[in-house]
Amino acid sequence: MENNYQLSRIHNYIHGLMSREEMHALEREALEDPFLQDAIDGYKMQQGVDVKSLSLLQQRLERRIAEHTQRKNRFYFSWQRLAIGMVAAVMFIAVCTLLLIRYLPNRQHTNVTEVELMDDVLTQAVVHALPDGDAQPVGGWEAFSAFVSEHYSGVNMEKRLEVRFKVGQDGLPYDIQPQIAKRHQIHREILQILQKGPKWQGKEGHIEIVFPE
Amino acid sequence: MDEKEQLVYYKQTGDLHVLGKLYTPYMSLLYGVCFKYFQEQTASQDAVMQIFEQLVHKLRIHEVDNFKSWLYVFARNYCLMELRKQKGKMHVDIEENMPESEQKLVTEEETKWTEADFDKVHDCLASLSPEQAVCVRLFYLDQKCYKDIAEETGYDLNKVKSYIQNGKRNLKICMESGKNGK
Repeated sequence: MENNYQLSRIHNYIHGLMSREEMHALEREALEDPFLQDAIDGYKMQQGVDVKSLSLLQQRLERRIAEHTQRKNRFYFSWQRLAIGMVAAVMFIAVCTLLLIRYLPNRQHTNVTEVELMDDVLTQAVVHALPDGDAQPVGGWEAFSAFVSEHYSGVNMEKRLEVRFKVGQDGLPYDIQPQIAKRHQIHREILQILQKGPKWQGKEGHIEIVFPE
Repeated sequence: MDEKEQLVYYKQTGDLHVLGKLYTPYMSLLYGVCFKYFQEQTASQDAVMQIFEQLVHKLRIHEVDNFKSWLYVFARNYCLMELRKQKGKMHVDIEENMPESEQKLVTEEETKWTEADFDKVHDCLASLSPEQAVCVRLFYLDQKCYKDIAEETGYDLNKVKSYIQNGKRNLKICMESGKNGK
């Protein structure tokens, strides 16, 4: 290397290991090349060329460069990581969206049935037995609910109404007591509905009518 | 890749390995230069590393034509700046340092010498101070080394060097002024 060649020339020059001609040549070169001249001056001040420390310095530079490459790699690696992370995030979101898309119609479906139920409640009265009565309408609760809905005028402020009655030998209800004041129109209506309605099985009637809203 | 291509390549890519390849050949010379200013081993080594660090950025921005002389000027400036920072003043002889830096920046042209030029050299040599004239004569005409000149004239070795440097510069100025006058 040119570098080492110059260095050994400097070394020889400083230690007087050169012939006169060589010395002159180097001096002349240095006159044209201030870089070389300053370097010679420097080494002269140091009283020689310390090859060992120079090679250590060279190693230091190599380490520095390698370190930078590593740093760059690390940086690159982290970019890679970031990319992987982003892909994962995108995939996660995609999967979530898919799941939501799949899940949402189901929910909508249940919503629809719910609404229908609500509709039912809105338009139909529902009748069911309360615990301390044993009377059951002949034809079942559903038929009786439908019957009530059909004959019910709809003029009513109440939402729920309890009715007590007794069932005679012939299966007809008597002693009908809607649990509401007589002045309400619904009181009379209930009496009529029950009297017109189906026969009952059992003895004591205690039912609740849930009116549509 | 030669030096110039490497410089361009580094400027484009910022590949430190390329910069390392560019820089390494000059490290020992740079170390010498730094030692001249700092006169201390560790400081000089650190300076060589620091100059490299600065090159990492500078060479990505600047276009450099002649890397060697650019690097020299850059390194010298770096050292001077550091010294100024450290001590507030420098112990650097301007007379010793200035002419050298100027020299390289002037591109050397092949000039054709005429008969008149040789006469002029003679005149110009006579215009130098006697010490400079003697040293320049011994160095350039008799091709003697500094050591021999010092022995022959009895001047100090460093004095011989500066006589020759300054004599050479004065000679050049003298020659060029004559040319311009024509």
